[in-house]
Amino acid sequence: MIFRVKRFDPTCDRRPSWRAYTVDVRPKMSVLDGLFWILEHADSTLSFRYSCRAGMCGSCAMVVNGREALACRLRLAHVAAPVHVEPLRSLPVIKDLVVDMTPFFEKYRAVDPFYRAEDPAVTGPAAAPAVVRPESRELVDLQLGCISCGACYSACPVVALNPEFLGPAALNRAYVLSADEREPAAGDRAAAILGDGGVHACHAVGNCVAACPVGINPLLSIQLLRKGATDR
Amino acid sequence: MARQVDADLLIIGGGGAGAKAAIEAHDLGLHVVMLVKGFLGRSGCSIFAGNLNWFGPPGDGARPRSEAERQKQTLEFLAKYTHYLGDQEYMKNAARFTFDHFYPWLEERGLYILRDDDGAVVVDLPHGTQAWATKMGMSGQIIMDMMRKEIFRRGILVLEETAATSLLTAGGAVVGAAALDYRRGEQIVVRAKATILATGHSNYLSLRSTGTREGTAAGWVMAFRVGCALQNIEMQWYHVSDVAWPRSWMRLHLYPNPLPGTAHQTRLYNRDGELFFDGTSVPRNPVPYIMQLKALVQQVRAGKARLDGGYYTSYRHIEPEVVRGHIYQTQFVEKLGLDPLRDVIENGVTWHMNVGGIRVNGQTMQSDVPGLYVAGSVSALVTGGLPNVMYDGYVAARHAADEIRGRPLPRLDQSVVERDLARVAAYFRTDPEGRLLPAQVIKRIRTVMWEHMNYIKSDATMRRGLERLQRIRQEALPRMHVGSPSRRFSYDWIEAVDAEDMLDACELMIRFSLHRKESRGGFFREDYPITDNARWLRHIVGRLENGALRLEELPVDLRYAKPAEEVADFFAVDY
Amino acid sequence: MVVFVLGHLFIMHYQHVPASTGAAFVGRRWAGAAWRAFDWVLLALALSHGVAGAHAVLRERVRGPRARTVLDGAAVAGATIFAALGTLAVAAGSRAAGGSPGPLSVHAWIPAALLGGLLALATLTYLALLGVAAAAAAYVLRRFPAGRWSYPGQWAFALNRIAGLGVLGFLLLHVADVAMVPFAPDLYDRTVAGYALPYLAPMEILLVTAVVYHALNGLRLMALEALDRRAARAHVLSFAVVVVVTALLVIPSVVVLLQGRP
Repeated sequence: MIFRVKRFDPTCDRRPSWRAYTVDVRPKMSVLDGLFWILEHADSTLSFRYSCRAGMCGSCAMVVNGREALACRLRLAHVAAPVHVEPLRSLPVIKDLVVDMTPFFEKYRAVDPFYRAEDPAVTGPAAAPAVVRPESRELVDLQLGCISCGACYSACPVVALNPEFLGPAALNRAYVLSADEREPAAGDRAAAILGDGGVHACHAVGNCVAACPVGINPLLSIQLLRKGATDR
Repeated sequence: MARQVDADLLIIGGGGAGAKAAIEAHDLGLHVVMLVKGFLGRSGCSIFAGNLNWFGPPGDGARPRSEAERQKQTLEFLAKYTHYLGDQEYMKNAARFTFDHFYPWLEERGLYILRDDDGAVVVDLPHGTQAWATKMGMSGQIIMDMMRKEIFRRGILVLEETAATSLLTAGGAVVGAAALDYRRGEQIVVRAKATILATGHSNYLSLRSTGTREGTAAGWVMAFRVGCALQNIEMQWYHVSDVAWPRSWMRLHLYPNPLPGTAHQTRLYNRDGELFFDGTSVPRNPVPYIMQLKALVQQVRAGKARLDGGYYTSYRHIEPEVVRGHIYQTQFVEKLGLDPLRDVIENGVTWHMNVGGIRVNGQTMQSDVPGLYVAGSVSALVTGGLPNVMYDGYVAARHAADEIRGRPLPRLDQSVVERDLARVAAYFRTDPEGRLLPAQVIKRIRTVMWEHMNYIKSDATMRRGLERLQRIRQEALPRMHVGSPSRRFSYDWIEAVDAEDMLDACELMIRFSLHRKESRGGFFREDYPITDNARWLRHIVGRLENGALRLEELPVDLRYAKPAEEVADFFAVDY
Repeated sequence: MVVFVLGHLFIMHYQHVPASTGAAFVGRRWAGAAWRAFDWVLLALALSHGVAGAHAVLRERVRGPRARTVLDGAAVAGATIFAALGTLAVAAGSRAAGGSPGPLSVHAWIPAALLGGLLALATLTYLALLGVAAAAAAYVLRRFPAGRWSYPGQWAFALNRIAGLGVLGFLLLHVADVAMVPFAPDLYDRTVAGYALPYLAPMEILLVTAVVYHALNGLRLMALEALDRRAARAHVLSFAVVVVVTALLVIPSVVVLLQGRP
């Protein structure tokens, strides 16, 4: 199976280039297994991140045949040859498939992603209800398991067009907090949600929904935040 | 010259232990710097932690009656879990911490744990071993995500993708560490009043491993080189029911414990389709992992299974709605293209956690060397689990804070610093003779460990393994080179350093193993298939003396739980 | 707004052929207050939606706060001018009728400029569509993946934006030409006759397509939001429905156009 991998070392290359490798594929291999094969048999200079190999750590998000994916979770049986592998988009490339996640996390910070319910500076004591019913958590739990891999951020054309847009992951986090019964409505967060880079900059493209490797629907979060803002 | 960073407290490692220590120390007013080999809270095994353990061991269909009884059962469980080699006083304190601090602290920070109307935590009756929380089965990921945010909100300096390469000493004390930021290709020196080593498990030493690429035993080796004792590092714990293939999926474990909320357990079948392990047939068995291993050995000897495949986990005897409700495993099995209701899943053995590690004081987390604390799975206290490792981090941070309060920054010994930096810098070479890539050397080491130091081993296989490791050290290490002249994100460079660490760790591990002449829990020798509590319920402790390993045996703390048998058939006992 | 736009579209492109709607036609319409109100409301809604769209695009394209303020101001000012022009035309509309010259008829450059603008807009639109087609071809041939075109949402978004910008461009030209009805009916007739150029025929169909698609896609997004759809599949399916319905609605206008052209 042919792999074409986008290679780029900003310290010595002027622009990225594609390099092709013929990978010896065995059944059930994932894209990550293919990259391991390249590393071991063809080209040890290829750089990519990986860690847990089980779709939990979010290190190996990349673009495979034009779509964001976790390399460890995507089986080669489900991708067409030749397999084109690129780094995440809208983030600066450090080398080859490794990107600098700093802009992603800076925007994440901008929504004040911290749970504040027990922070006495924000809320008085006993603001949270004594018992939180699981029913009230249906949507929160659905949207909670973000592994901050950056796939949605990379897939979003609005992030690419509008440098101020906070992106799907950050706004999803803002929703998870705002929908948590125990969490007070925090002022800073509301300003970020409704500001220039907030929910109103989203054009409901929906790429984030298709790209999320853990089944979160960030667009739904953004829409619910918008609804919440109009209701208030 | 390398960049230098100063800190009150240096924490090496970004898993549960390191993260908890960083938060605790920061809140006590210390200036904390973290060195993290991968990403904070994203690389270690802990992110994959399955369910929220609620110690509480299995009861007889009801919650333990009294707190005292619960404590007793918890200790018996943990003692068997560590094959009676764990520190029992430590385990008692860690279990208390789980109730008194771990769960309330996480709940205050947003972890949702289901409670009934009276506020009591809901556990999965009838077994009572697991609390129900959000994202059941992925609690580790949720908890580590919370920890990461707690560290970010405090503005603690976290140097990610920066691996510690050696501990720096001056005047007999640890005064910081040298590190390699492989993202930028720069060496860094961190100077600190105290250091907490929390690098996690060392289980990436063999071809098949549940560990992440960070688990190359750097923690053990760095501590050993500055004079710390290692303890029981031969006690490697293996997983039987991990996916056989492909490589990227072998991390997926098909837990033999009861499925959450039920009494159902998986079954194992051999090559010929014969059932050879059913967890429910071992009454009140607290450690089904170990019993699976013992059963598998007999299948392998009979030629009906291999360690790397040819035997299978099955969920087919369990009602479909129970299997579907057990989302955690089934979603992965389905990704492999298998239907857990109809198909069996081929398994292979993997190296999992370490029971042993760096010897520390279980009350303070202090090592044998001043200035160095050790927390989490890298120590010899217990096998792991988020509640326990966070207890370690919590204790280490508090004791370190007490020790260094008001103390000035130590002076570095420049000759030590330069020697350590030069050792690492020397691995960035593009053209030695023979040309071997670090990844190829690492693969050779891991192959030797798989072939000669696996679950089934004997004096002969281990000595052969030792010979092959020595040949790698003499022939392969000097020929390592980096594949690219670019220093940016060079895994080659850090892997070259790892290769040397792994060789040291693997040799030590084999030497410890040769010394223990019995079989116990995760440790099995074909030439000594008995569990000999009378002779070998001892810690094997080794340290560097005059450039050589010196091994000794030290007594084990058995104050709360002890095995009934003096000497027993390894296959007959349940620990 | 969707009702007004689709109503307008239906009358102009399904009942009639634009090239046949001269000043006399418009004059007849504007004899009644109801149609004048209809056209005025449509004008106001379309221009404000256009300003909102332009604002969104400017947000993405322009970073400096001062440049943003200036450009936003320019958009509002432009819209106000066109709104005034349109209001004036609608208000004055009933006075003029037939193909007689009006006070502005001496300025023969106006129809030429408008037609030139339309040709330019058509050329831009054709180029944009060629670009999209090239992306589609690259995706189908899998030479290498370019952009985010493997996501259906990307197509929905790109088409929505191209359609929106195209319709806005046409709207401005259209307001300018209709404004001639009261003041230079003869020139208006000459302009409208120019629309019959074969080069502009695809543009006419594209205009209908763009308006229909933009409206339906907007309805789709509102529906998805209102229905709280959680599955990724809902986005893909609803987009497919929009594409099919757009095609079904455009076909009759093509037929009308082909029949109506000489």
